[in-house]
Amino acid sequence: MTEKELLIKVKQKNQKAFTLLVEQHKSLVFNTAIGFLHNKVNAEDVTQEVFIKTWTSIESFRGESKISTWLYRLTVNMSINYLKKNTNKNNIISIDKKNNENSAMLDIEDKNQNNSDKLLTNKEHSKALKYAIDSLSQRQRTSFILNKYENLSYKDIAEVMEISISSVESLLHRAKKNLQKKLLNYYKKTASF
Amino acid sequence: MNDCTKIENNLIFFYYKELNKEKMEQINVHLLNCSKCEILYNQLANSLSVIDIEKNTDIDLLLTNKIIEQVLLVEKNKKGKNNSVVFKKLIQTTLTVAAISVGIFFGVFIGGFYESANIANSNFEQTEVFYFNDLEQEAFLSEIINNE
Repeated sequence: MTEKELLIKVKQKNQKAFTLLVEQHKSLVFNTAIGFLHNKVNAEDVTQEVFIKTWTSIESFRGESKISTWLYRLTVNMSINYLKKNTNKNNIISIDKKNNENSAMLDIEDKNQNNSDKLLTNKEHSKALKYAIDSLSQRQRTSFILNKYENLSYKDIAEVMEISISSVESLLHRAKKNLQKKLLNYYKKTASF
Repeated sequence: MNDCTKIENNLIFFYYKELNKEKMEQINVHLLNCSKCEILYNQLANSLSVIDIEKNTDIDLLLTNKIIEQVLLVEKNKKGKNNSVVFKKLIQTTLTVAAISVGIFFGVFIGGFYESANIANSNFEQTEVFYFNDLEQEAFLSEIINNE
């Protein structure tokens, strides 16, 4: 079944076609959401919300772009909204607050704690990365997540974000520079370089 | 800007292999000779590798089922809402028609009641009838007639 045929059936509220659409695109939605939320449960919540929204408003999809582009846009918007809504509920982990153990963080096992090369544990690396990504501007963060979590090309990112390819290049360059700055500053502070 | 600062500014691009061959080689050599930069690079690489761990997070096998269940629930609620809207509109129309009918009925009933009550209670009876062209009132005209 082609994408067009699938979408026609979904627009006709065909449940089987919708199930197929979910199966084909759930990892795309989930991976993008986890890039923003860094939490499996929250990413699954957003994935559900995205597909419910898809079911209820598929009529508004005009087919001018690929369904994946439309889903990426929905996921980015809903993840940002989810973060805004839950800012007070979730503990936004600050690197400075070392003792603040948030159970919502990805449970990455510290298998290499004894490795002398690693001054930080995996959990701390996870926190550091989350902090650094969250500190990026919304546009830098979106372009970085689409590029690194979903391996989207500059052209695809430009289509999702509705900007030019050169803008994507510039956003990604600044995003990486800022990430590097935040992370290196953190390592220098913690390891007393 | 010393060598270390220059290297630090490009570590993330070195990690993502986004530098030209010459710069890649230059940083590689520097990292082999500078333990401080090497540690920083390893830290950065470890933090950035978390992205790959997050990317490979297993999705709940029942996620599709959960989504379909949610969608069915949304559809059910939508239908229930539509039915209640139709029912509400039907009730509203019925009540409006009933209110207008009752109003008309009472209007006609009360009007009819007062009309018959007025007729029954009326004592007025006309005893004298005055005519404008009564001959007695026309003295001048009668004199003329008589003189003739």
